[in-house]
Amino acid sequence: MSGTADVIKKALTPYLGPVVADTCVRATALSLGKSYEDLGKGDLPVLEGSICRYLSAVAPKSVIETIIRELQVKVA
Amino acid sequence: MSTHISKRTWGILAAGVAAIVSLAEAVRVTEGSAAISDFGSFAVNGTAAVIVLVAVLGYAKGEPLRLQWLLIGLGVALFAAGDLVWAVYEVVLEREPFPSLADVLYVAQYLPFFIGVSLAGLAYRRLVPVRLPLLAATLVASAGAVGVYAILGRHVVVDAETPVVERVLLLAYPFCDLLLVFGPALFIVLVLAKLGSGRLARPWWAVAGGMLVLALTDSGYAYLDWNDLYKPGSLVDYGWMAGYLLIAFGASIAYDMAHPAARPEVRPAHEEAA
Repeated sequence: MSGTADVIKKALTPYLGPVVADTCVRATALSLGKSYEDLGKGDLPVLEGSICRYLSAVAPKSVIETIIRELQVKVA
Repeated sequence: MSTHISKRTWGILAAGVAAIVSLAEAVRVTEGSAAISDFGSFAVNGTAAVIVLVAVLGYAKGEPLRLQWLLIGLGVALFAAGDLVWAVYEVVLEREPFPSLADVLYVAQYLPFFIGVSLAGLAYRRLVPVRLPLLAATLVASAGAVGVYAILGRHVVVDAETPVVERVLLLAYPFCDLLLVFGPALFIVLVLAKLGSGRLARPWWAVAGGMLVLALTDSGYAYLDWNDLYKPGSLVDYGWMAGYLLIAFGASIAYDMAHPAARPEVRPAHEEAA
């Protein structure tokens, strides 16, 4: 299993629940033409943009910033 | 494990419950004092409106959540304003006009509630399917409206002794409750069910719960009032307060999320694995 995808899913799960977090990551991978397992560190900038787009209408800025910061520390 | 709900928010819930219970006891002891019932209701619901509007200020201009909570806060504020107007009518002026300015304010609350909660549910459309919840909520609310008509509406419509304006208002409340309050509440519940224990859903669970309580309470009041069974201090009075308290609780949870007490420590993945 891809470490990057799992890290992203783990960061999103507390806020979206495991099912929606998984869907979010897989949908992002698909938009990049990749599978869940293929996501890597190099995809981080695009992943951050994608997460911001998914969450901007449902989460406060502080939550989005927390998730992005977590990804930057754990993935980069 | 932290629930990420602040002590302040739990305190709001506890204080609200205490206030409602105290008010119920005060009304009971005074054998149904309209002054205590009416002004007390305004105090509780007005405080709920303030709590929701404070939560609005926690979001920056342009944030979608700000508009959603602003509309909900406006709905609560309109109801509280209606409570104040009614208190002045009944207690100060010793009149009970129907319809009145209070009814204008009570009915005005429905539209901002409907838009605010609907926007909140639709905001999840990039994350979860919303068409089926939307269809299901619309069908259930519509079926409920048919039921209300069968139980109450058809009797009100043909009652020639009651002025038309009064009949329209008597029906407006339960129908608006079903279509503009219960419907959106059910919609957001069905959408949020996909999120399970996800924290983003928590404020909306409280709001949906509050709206369901309001819809039930209003229907109960319409039934009691039509059958001349309502009096100040009836159980339905506390249903409204409980509903708005739940909505305020939800707003406070949302505020907590937008203003975490402390930034969580983030450690690199290899340190967590060690």
